[in-house]
Amino acid sequence: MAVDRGAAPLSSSVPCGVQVFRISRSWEDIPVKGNSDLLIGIASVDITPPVGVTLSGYTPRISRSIGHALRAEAMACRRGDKAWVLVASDTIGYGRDDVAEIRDRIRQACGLPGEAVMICATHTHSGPATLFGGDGLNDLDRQYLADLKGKLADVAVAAFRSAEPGRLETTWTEAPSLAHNRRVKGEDGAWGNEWWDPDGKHPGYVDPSVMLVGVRRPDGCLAALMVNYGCHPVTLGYDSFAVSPDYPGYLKDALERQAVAGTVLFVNAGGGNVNPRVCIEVGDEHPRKMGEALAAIVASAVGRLAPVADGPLAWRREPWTLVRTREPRKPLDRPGFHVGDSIPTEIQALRVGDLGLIGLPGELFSEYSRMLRDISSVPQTVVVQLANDCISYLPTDEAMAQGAYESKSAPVEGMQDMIMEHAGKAFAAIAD
Amino acid sequence: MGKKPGLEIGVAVADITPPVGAIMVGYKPRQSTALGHTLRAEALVVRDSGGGAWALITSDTIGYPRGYVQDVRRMIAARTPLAAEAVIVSGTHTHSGPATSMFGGEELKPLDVKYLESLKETLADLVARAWADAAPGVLEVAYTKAPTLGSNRRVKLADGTWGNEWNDPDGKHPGFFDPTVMLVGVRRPAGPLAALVVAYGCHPVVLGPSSLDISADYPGYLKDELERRGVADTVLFVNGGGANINPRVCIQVGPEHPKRMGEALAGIVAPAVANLKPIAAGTVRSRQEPWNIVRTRDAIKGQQSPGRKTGETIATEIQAFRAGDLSLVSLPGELFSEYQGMLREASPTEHTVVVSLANDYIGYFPTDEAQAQGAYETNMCPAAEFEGLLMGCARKAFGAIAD
Repeated sequence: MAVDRGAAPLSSSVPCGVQVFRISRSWEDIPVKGNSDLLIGIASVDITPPVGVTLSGYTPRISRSIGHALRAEAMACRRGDKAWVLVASDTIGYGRDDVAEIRDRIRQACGLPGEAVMICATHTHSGPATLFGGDGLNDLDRQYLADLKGKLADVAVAAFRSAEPGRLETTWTEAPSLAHNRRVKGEDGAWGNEWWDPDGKHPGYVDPSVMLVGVRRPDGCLAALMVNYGCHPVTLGYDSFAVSPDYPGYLKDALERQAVAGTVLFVNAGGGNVNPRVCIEVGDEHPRKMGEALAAIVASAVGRLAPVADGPLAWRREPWTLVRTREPRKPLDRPGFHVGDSIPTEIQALRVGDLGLIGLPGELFSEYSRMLRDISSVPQTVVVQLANDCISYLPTDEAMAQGAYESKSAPVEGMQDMIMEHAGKAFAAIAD
Repeated sequence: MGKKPGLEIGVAVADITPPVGAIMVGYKPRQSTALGHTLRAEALVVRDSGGGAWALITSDTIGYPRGYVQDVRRMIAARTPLAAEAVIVSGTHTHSGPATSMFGGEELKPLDVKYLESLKETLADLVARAWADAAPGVLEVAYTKAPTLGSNRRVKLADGTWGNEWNDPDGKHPGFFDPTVMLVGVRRPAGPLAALVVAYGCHPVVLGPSSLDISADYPGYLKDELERRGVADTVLFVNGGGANINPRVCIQVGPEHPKRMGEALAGIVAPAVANLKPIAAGTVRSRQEPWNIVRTRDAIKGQQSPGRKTGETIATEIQAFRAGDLSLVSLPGELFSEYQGMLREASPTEHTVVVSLANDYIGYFPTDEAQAQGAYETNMCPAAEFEGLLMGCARKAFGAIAD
């Protein structure tokens, strides 16, 4: 299988990106504790499915063309005999069993324990039916999904094996005018959803934060840039039959074309209740517009990347078992979909020095991004929704009480305390 | 020390007075009915030519929880080249200010929520202005003492137990009180003092729970008086560590009380300004040291929130900033007076500003001796043997900014 070894060659061949004003102008400028032995690997792989596969996110629909290639990227951090790896990919998300299989392949190939592997998805609604395919999958889908698991394992292993000296840097910016909270209170006092909001009139909460994590090589170049922002990739709607990564794909394109970084990864933070202001459209100009607008915001902030203090590598897969108390939105005769069924899942935390990642197994509401960062045991925290599993939407208690679309999919009441409790345990386990 | 670059220093000021009607905290939450003295926030930005930079926000509030601070920092990082982790957000700890920290999660009204959201904007904008206006300057330091204004409010009672006596007009309480007033001046090349930071450890509780006026308490009147006298263009007040220290006359009603204390302190500060001496130059650095504390006792209130039950981990931080021979160390709670000297002793630099009520509020920070004694403050400390935890984390932060 061909795996594109993203950053290793790129780090020496791609010129440095936009330099607006850099707090740290070169590797040596700012003292960073013990950075000499941290190795970081970056790899990427094309995961575009063949035309004819089922697209999921809305009602499953058969793809008719390729609008934009899909990609998966991996970032591995290694020191001595410890390592973890993150895989980000242009799909809707993954079920727990598929993640277990991918983790097992990675473990067999390079010895990384499953607890140290985080598999996440951008949540594009124009990608293959890695979730929500139901019983309608065709042979093409099944073959693609089998191959995809191998590709995701391979890209993780490639990142692990190609790791070389690098350091992590972070900065923050904001994208306040691209998205909106799609939950609105109607005149009758009941809560519902309005998917579009072109003029940004919806009053609901949206976390506009864009967290950037850079991987800088000793020669000063950015081998990789992780963009962590919370918003549904649904600029393309259910009438669009083109395979597409939606806006994250165009974001990555624009940043890589400008040589801001060798490889760009998109990690969706809490965006369960957040849509692009212009969404559910047909035509690639829509995701392009949103992706390029976000890229412009990101590019102007890259000059502010500053080193994160290095320190121990750690990981924790915190088991989380829910017992369903609410009827599913769509009845399904499967384990986990009957009231009283157990739903085993996990919240995962990864850490290297002062940078942490927290992975949540579902569509995380925007409010959680800051709530999780607030309780994090490390100063800089990437919030990763749709990581390792997708049990449902993950609303706040307030949203559960209001109702509307997202809340109906939650399997239990009181999920907020459970999320915060298990995330707190995961954060505590990776603390010093 | 290697290169000794010149510094660029920016100062900015913003009015942060909430509307009358806003909830005030510090005592039991109470609704304000009048404006006694406007509230203000100030920002000090220090950067060198090598890319090092940090910012200090001081403000007339009770303090801030971590989440609020993180929001402000992210907004600053998005608007300036400052890193989010290179910003201290501190409060003077006035007990007649807005509900920036509710000590238990009481319900806020729309007026309060709107104010608190707009305050984030104001604080972020403040730092952006200080960054934009930064100009060459020199940092200078001097020390004086104000031994007769404060008093240790912890007393041993006749039965041998420890309790609190809030007022001590005649200064009879025997407990430890660090009377140090540290001054940090920002001098422009032309000679004038652009700013003066006054760091002193004493609770701003001249006004008590029966006072329903919004007020900056004595730090506001201190700043007024020094600026009126032309001592410096802008005066910032940092509460150095006065968790167990009250003004000798406190818990009063009426602006004459905080005015008297503020002007008395200004009367001590003003002559000491002549003693300001430039610090040794050097690079600008910062370190945000994570501090994860496992609770050994339940919080008194708000146990439904994360990190408030025994066994849970509180995620917070201690920051250390440095510019040449001056450092700042931030503590996320109410620091006992004894720690000011202990932290200055542990610091790698000649001069150290201790900034309490900074970046978070996780409770009182007593010494181990005080914890063994008990009384009000110690019940609000999250863990036993706290002194070792605090000094251990502070030493780590100091280590990261040492040469």
